[in-house]
Amino acid sequence: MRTLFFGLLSLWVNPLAWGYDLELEVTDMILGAPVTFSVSGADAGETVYLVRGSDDGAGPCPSVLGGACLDILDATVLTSLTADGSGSASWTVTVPSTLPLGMTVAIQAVANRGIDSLFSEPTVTSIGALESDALSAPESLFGQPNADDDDLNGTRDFLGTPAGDNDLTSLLVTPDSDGAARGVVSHRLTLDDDSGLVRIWLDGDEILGASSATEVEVDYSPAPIALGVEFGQWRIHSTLEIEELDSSGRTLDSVTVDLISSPLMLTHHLQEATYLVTVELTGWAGDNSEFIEPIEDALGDALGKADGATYGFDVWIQDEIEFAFNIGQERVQDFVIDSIRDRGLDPFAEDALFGEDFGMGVWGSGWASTWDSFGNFETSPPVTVDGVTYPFGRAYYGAEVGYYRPDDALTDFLAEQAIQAPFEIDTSWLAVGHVDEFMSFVPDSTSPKGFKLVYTDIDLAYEILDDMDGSTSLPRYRSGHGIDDVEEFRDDLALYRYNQDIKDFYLDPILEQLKGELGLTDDDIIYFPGIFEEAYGPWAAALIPGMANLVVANLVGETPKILLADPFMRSSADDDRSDDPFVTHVESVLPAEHEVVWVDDWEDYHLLLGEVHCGTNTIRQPTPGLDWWTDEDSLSLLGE
Amino acid sequence: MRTLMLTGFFIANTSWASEATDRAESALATLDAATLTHLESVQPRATRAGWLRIVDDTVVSESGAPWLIHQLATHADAHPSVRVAWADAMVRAVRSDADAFGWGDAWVELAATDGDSKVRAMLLAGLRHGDASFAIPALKQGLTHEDPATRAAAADGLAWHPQGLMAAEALRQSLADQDVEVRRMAATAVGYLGDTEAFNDLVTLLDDVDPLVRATAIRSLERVAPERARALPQMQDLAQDTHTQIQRAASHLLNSGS
Repeated sequence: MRTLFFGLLSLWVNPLAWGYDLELEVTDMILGAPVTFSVSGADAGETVYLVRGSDDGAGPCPSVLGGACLDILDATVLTSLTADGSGSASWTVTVPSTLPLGMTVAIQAVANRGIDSLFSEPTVTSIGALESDALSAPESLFGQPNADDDDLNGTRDFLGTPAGDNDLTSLLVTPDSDGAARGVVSHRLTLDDDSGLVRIWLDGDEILGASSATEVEVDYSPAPIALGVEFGQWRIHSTLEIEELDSSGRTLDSVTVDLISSPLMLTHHLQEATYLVTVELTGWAGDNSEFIEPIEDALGDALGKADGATYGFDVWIQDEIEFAFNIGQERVQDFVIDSIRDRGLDPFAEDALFGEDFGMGVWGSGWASTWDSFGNFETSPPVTVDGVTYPFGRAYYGAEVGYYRPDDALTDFLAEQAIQAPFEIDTSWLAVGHVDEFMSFVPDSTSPKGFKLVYTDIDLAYEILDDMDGSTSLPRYRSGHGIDDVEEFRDDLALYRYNQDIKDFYLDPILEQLKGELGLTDDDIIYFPGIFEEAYGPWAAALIPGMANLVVANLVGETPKILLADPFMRSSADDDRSDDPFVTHVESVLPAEHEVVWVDDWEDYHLLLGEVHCGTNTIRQPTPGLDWWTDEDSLSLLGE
Repeated sequence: MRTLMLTGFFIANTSWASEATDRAESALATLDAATLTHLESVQPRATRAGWLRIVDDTVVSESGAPWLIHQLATHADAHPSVRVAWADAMVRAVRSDADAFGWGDAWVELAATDGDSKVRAMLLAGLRHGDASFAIPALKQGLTHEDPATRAAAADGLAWHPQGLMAAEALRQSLADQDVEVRRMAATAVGYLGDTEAFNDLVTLLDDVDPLVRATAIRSLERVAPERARALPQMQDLAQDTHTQIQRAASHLLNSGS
């Protein structure tokens, strides 16, 4: 009857405005949870039926209603209630867990009065699932690649089966302790990983990964699920979804964890040193005791010496290896990049470093140029440039820009790490071609930025020469460079012009570039005197031992030391440096917190186109308290 | 007399080479056995750049010079990098004496006739330390060698020689060499030597196909005649050149007069 009436009135009146005689309220219908139906508007003691259907619409007109029609489709009677004295009735019942999640349910209350039956407006709702407060997991996990060799089998652990490996990052999933009551029968773990280099471990078994599965179900238990996450590479961002499933396989709740692996980070000079290494020549291999002794006196047990005879008399240990870190939220892993330079020291990284808690990697292959040596890869201290902060500093390397450069495999990889934003410097003018030949960084706790850039200054060198007595003999330079005295140094006009070209075409422009790339001002720079000579064809090398090619030996808990080449710009070749104006100048400009250690590197390094930094390498420790995964600047650089 | 000898050698070098070798052998025969054994035992060492160098005080000395000459003259089949190390050591051994301890003629001849371009280049460039009487003619001759690397090394040697201007005309001719590196070294040389007569030839190089030659020409123009160079009409444009080194050289020239 109403339907017919609604049909007649539909053109000019909102049928809802006609009004329903009964009021019906329905609470949320959640699987496994109570739902309450409250009806009012009936007569006291009257029977009210609750009818359920699939949706609202033109429903059946049962004869018991005397021809009145329901407003729900596929109607069935849920229950009957008796209205109380106020004409109200309510019913609470648990929504069966077996109902489909999201199913549409329409409810209408009916008081049977035949043709005059009373109806409520249909309530249409859908069945939902109760969210669990208790299913939980961290939003993100930050690990480091399993790039070391804890089982000492000669290969990276990720390539093996690292049961018990200490490079897995813990991921604790806490299930809902009331999950069973809610119908949870299992948890489904789904790994979404494009890299194919993430493995998830449970109880010593690989349960997810490219070679196992991307999805696994684990029977429900209220006990925490202790997973281990293993990364095979840097800068992975994958996800692990954990779902609660009921017996029909429906998802009742889920959480997703971001799995993020660390970038590789090169070390910088403000990070404290823990160990230095050099190559010792003894016996038939030669004798570099003049180099070793002052360094060993200064560093003691913190200096390790590789046997030169074993490593082909290759003293350039700075060039063969580059130290770095893999830092995860649970662990710091030391790491060494092994150069493709592959000279006498080629096996050193495998022999002495790669192993337990020490990772190793090689980027590039084939013919190596001088630019592939690691004296050509350095890192600045933390800097801020045009509002962008680099908490781990910026990496830089030398190249003949546009022509010859380091192997793309390494430079591309370092660029992909993003956090140290590498940049190129023109070192085409140098015979060796390494950035460490003319610049470095030293800590300076009194400086606003915490460091100074050490830079080679040719004009300064000539100023000092001009102030010297021209008759001062230079015995070291006679035998090594054919220069007898200071006057001969000063009078060599071609040498002067050669150095002016270096200054004007290279050193000055590079300094301007550094200021731009690293946000430096003139106050951040200290200058060391230096003069270059043609070493091979027109290409330059240090004529006065390159003092900027220094080592920052800031060992933990000790007075920091700067190790650098003795310039021997004096008539005596002994250790009395008081009359050496190049020494006194450098000692006057270096930050006072450092102990200066002068090293005689003349025979075995300087004459072979290298200096103190070239002949050493330094293992450092990360900056305390600087976690890239919580540091906003770092996360910004990484795009996380 | 020495010049005549050198000229004769260029015409028929085999006889001269054996004369140099004979002289070196004779000198070696005067050394004691221990010294000779030591010279024979010294191995070149790898520089940081990878090429070899001898740093032994006995080898790189007056007594070592004849041994090095002998090695270069009689061991053409030794490894090329070792021979370059011998040449480098020889230059360093004799350069503290302008007369090269009497080995100037051998030095010059090896520089002209050695079969290895890098050895010739090392010896020629090293003639910057030699007495002008033998060094300048040899370097001038080197400027006409068929090998461009040798010619470039000769220009380099002249650039650094205190009497390099004695070869000024030859250097100016080299400014038109067909090889880029030779032109660049020659341009450097005339600048270092302050050869004012090279001005017009350097101006011609401002249109060279190679940017480093152009930059070097600007630099040398500043050295030989800065005021005339600053007045060149193209210099303002060169200060805005897209190539960084040309821009720097021109800017430096223009600013140095202010």
